[in-house]
Amino acid sequence: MVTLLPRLTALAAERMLDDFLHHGVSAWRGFDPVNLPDEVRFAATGGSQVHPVTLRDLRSRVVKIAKDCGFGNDDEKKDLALFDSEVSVWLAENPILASGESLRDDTWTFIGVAMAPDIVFWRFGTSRERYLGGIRNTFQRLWMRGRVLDRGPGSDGRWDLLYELTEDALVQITERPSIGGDPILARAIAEAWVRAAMHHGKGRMEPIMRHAVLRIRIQNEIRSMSSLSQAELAKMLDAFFDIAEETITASLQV
Amino acid sequence: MSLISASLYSEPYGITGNIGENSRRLLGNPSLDPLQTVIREAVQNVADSAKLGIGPEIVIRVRRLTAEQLEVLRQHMLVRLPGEPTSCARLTEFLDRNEAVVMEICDFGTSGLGGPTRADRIPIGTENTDFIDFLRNIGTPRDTEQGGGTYGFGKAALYRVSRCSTILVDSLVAGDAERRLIGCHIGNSYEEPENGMHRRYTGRHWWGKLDSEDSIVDPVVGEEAEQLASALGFLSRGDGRTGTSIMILDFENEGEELETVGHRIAESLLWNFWPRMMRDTPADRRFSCAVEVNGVSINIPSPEEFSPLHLFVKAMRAAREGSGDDVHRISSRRPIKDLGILAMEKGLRTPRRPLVDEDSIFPPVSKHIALMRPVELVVKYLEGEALPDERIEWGGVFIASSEHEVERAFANSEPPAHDDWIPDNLPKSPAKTFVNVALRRLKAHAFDMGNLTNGQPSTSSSGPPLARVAGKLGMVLESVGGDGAGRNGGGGGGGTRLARARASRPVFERLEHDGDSTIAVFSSEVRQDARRSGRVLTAKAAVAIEGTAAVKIEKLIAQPSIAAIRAIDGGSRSVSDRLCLDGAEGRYEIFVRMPPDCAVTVDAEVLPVRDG
Repeated sequence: MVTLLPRLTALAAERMLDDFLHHGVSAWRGFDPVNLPDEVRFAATGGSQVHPVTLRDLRSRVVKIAKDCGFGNDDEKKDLALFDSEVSVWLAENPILASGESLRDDTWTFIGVAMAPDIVFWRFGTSRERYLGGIRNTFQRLWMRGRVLDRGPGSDGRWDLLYELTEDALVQITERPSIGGDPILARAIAEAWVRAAMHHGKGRMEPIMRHAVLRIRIQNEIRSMSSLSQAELAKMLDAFFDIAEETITASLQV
Repeated sequence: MSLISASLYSEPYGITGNIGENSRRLLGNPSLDPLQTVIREAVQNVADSAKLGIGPEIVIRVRRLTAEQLEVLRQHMLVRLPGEPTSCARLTEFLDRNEAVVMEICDFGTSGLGGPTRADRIPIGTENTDFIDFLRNIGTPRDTEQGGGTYGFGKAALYRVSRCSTILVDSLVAGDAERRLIGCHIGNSYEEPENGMHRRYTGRHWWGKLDSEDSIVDPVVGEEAEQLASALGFLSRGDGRTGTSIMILDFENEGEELETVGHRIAESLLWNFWPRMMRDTPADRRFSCAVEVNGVSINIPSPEEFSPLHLFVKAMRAAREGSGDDVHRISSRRPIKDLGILAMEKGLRTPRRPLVDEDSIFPPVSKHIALMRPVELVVKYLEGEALPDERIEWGGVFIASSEHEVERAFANSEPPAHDDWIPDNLPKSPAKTFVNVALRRLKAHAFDMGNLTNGQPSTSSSGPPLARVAGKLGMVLESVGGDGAGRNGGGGGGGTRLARARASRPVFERLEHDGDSTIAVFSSEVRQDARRSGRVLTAKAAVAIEGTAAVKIEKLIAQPSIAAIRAIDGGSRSVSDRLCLDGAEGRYEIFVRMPPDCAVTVDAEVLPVRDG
């Protein structure tokens, strides 16, 4: 049965967020899973509303990961990349989120604004789009990464892509609707990135990736790339990375 | 008026030995809590004794004995206490309590405990042995045709909820209208020295009227019984109100408020006996139930109005009638046998109005089949799958067939507490098969209820599913523009004029070759305003990404360009991205030079001035 998650409408979220940002994280009253904000709604469809204990567990788990990465300890260096990877894996594996509920922005708005604004503040500061639902939401983007870059249960290094790819590469993949919305293509690009990075070096990958992704998106308009066989697709993507590398190199020499 | 004083009789071991002191364990391990078990057992007994053609009236009372009643108990009923130390201590403890709590289960309009009072000698021709079955014997098989009980062990449940294992039984027997009152205690077996030997006792004790011939006690009877019963606070049995009252002494309320206990009893009655409490249950089977706590009656809602029982009630009606939307006959194939009828009912989940604050026995979401034999006492609830939408719930009723062989099979599979059907209780036989098959079918039904959408292939599909293909096509096509259905902006010439001259969104027409390069031809409809102010038609092309024009695109990627624009009627023509209109209107073609391996989008615009 589907577990229905709390949703927070944009209007209410904006107001709560104003309040949070105005008074600062130290004035935040904390998350009370039993008494959710009045503005919280649940879908009027089949399923059972999430239990407060489950919500509390979600919150404490994410806090635990954050603490391991330096949250709550100003002296310690923040390991934000590790936080992102760990949270991605955890969110993607969480059965509570394995339903249409997590496709909705207002679900993530709830998590960012009501459940863990302190974590968002620690991770991103006051940037509003990191609290509100959308592809830039602190947790929504990580959930999406996890879902898209999962090599599948039982595979070797199931979650390695999440740890190998740089932040820029992950953004290029997940924030482009035509790629992020197509798990086959997204994963194939991630795998191609790993191969290209081994070849060209991680440090050079940012402009190469950006250019390659542009070409891939243009090509994707006229070919159903994810319908290709895995080998064909990999070959095609490798070619894009090669062209991108050549183009970038050539442009630098001009 | 002077009350009789009852005598104590402690049962010695027979010369050939006795079964032992396991009578309190005879219930097996009931899956229900002691309170529910005792209610079930007692009410099943009532159902069995409702032989007079009218539905029994059942009153369950929980009360504190008054000081006078307690004194009567001390002085006239439990005058002598058993010799066994534990028994003696427990009873003393009870008699010394400030608040002595008892539970009484009383029935009226039933046959009462008739027949002989001695178990060893039964006059020839005697049919009724209720008294000895209930108070003397252990494990007597039922004699009531399709009765609720089958073992006669159930009475052990009564002693289990008494901290001192003692009950008083007051009965007015139908027929000869004899009033009988007797006390009974079950304790541990023990020994007492007698004439240089150890005399062994079974641990069972009775209080009643001593028979001077053999020193065994019989019940106090007649007027003496009536007076003593009345002094103890038993409900009156005037006007021939036959039946039995069982008083459980030192009732184990497990620390709960008596009022809460009362509500639990009401819940228990509803959950286990609702088929007999329905408005349309035939009068001779219908229970009329009341619960009282210290004289105050507790409201028992009718099952028709108590969620989720209302669903079960509907299913019950369908099962009784044997027809309805969701009624199934359950049968076995080898041997071919009708095993019973199953009726299911779905409905909106209405809010619960629990009778108790915590630990209600009613499930929050109903997903159960009530199992019963034709006697219509719920044996147990078989749990199935809940419906995916929690706002809807379901309840079902299975009534085993009344055919003798089938009914016996189910009855014999029941453990002593009658709270389950366990096929393994039966030897390998058709009977075992019946119970096995029925349970298997019922479990399947109960599971399917929650999974209605699964495994129901559409009968009309004649080819492979198209969803995959459709999905892929949709993905490829999702951002393609076209002049499909919609309002035709260009039609009806000469009608209303626009406020401003404009061009419709260019639509792809065809591809053409121009040497090595490819030209994509788009068309757009230009319409003028009243002043024919549109002077110039301009067009822009861009590489399409995600269905729209890529606005900021790197110089490193080849761009499309506008090669030409011309009127479709051949009037005007330009080889740039601008065409002079000078107030003309009509359809225009836009030629776009395509870079390789991409899709393009084209925008067209009408400008009011030539150099705009």
